Amino acid sequence: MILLGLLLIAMALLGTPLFVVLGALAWFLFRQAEIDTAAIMIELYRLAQAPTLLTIPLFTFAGYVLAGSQSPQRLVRCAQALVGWMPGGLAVVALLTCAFFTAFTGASGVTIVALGGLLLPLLLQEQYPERFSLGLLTTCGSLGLLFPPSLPIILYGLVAQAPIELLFLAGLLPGAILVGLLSLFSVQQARRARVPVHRSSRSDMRRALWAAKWELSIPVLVLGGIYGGVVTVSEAAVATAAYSVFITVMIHRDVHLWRDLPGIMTQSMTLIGAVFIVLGCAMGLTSYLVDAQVPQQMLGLMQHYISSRVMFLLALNLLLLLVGCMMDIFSAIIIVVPLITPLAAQFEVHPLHLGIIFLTNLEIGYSTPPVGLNLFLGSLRFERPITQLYRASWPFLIVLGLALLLITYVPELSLMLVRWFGYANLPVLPR
Amino acid sequence: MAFIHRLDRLLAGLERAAVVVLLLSLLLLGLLQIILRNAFAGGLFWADEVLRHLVLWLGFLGASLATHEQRHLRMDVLARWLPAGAQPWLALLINLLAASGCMVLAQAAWTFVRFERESGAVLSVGLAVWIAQSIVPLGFALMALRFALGFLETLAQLRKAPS
Repeated sequence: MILLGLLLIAMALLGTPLFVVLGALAWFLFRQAEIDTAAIMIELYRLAQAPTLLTIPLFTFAGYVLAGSQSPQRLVRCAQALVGWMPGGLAVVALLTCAFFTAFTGASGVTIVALGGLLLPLLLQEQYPERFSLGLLTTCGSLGLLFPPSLPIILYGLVAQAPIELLFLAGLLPGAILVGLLSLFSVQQARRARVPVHRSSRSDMRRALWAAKWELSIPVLVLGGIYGGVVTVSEAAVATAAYSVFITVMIHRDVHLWRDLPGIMTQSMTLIGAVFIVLGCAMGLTSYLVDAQVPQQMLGLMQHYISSRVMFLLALNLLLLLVGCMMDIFSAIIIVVPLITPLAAQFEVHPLHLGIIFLTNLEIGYSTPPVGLNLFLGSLRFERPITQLYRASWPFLIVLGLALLLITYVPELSLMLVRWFGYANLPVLPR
Repeated sequence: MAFIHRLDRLLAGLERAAVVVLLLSLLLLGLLQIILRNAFAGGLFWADEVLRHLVLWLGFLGASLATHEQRHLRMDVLARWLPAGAQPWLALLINLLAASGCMVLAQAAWTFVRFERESGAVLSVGLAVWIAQSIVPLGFALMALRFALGFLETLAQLRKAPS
């Protein structure tokens, strides 16, 4: 049994698709327990019956449609007119637009591909140091994960059975802190490098805002619709997908209805398929582990070593950073969350706060050497050796690390807005 | 080998077409449902069930396409450190393992669908539940086929260029 487990872990580390490893493990465990292996499929099918599941393909599709249009250019132009006059303005532009896109495409690499190539020449042209620019764009590739309607948040909500609309609220302030701290750092760096400053007039700003009004109205519609009580999260997802097709195909006409759209559809659904199959196979495994009381056993084991909440949070941060640089965020959420939630409840970590800690950690893991995904994507996109990106990204990682500590040890940052919107008395465990 | 490639491409073409049709239906049916619910305070009672099964089909077809494009989620920490000569052997092993894994999962899914068929449950739209679920064994079988094709292809490459 242990031998089999080790074998499967070795195969996973060698690059076997994770869903195969999880599915095979579940299959063996169920057979061992003399339960029909069809039980895996019962769990998988139960997952498919979750009413919020359809938000995942629809929001992702919307993000891919926007990324495939000229929206990145429009948003960059708009942000430049708005904040380009500040020292370090263009760097802040990069932060804001990357955050916007990642919120929609769920840090699947689309941000670096769609925006990185656009922003790097701009930054260099404005005399930002090359090292700073590379580091900025590499770490930006996953910024915005905490903003609605990002795919990892929804996935966390599904796996941890936490309400998605509350997670969206919980992520807003911590997400703003990440963007804010990185902005401060960028402004300071730009000052030091004496990057020239532009002027833009009021009318420029108004014109740029107007030109990007369709894209900019999406987050307003999503958030307003959900928290105004007009639509459910699922309906918001349908509306967002339809709206992004409408503005790119009918209004801006930069996505062609039958030349471009089918390709965008299949690309986004390929990602969704890859995520869903891992999720489905993991459901079977999780149900087995919960039945076999594995989380409880882990808890018993851990209580020997970890006595306080602070220590638990610290251990969690370290574990997640390690996980984050081993696997992608989707698999990490699917595999680790069910094991951690019971432990976190024991140490009285609020499930919404836990979710935000998870996502912030994994977001940082994206850019952590040696194997963070952003580093590889950046190295491909910017045609630089990956070691150069290691050197370029560490100052940003320090800033992100500070933000992580704030977010982890000040739970109010995650919970304040949730309370303010009147969801005060959440049970610690939503099960 | 040329035959295998043609089969793989044909399959991918069919899957892509199905994904486009299903995603469009998901969007249109979802929109219709929002309009009916908000404007007429009604809605189609069968729509939510159909929407959920459309997502199930999209997921499995997408997963099959991800196999075709080798875009499954995986960890490749160790694989990056292996010498180039070992890579095709590793690919051979992984394809074999993945093909057999998908095969047993397809079999498990087949049992699941058979149970459902015996129970005779029907969706409110009138379709038998087991037909709506049939994508689960079908999806795993398609992926098993893809991994098996990948195995054969790597094998052919290895035989062509013995190192």
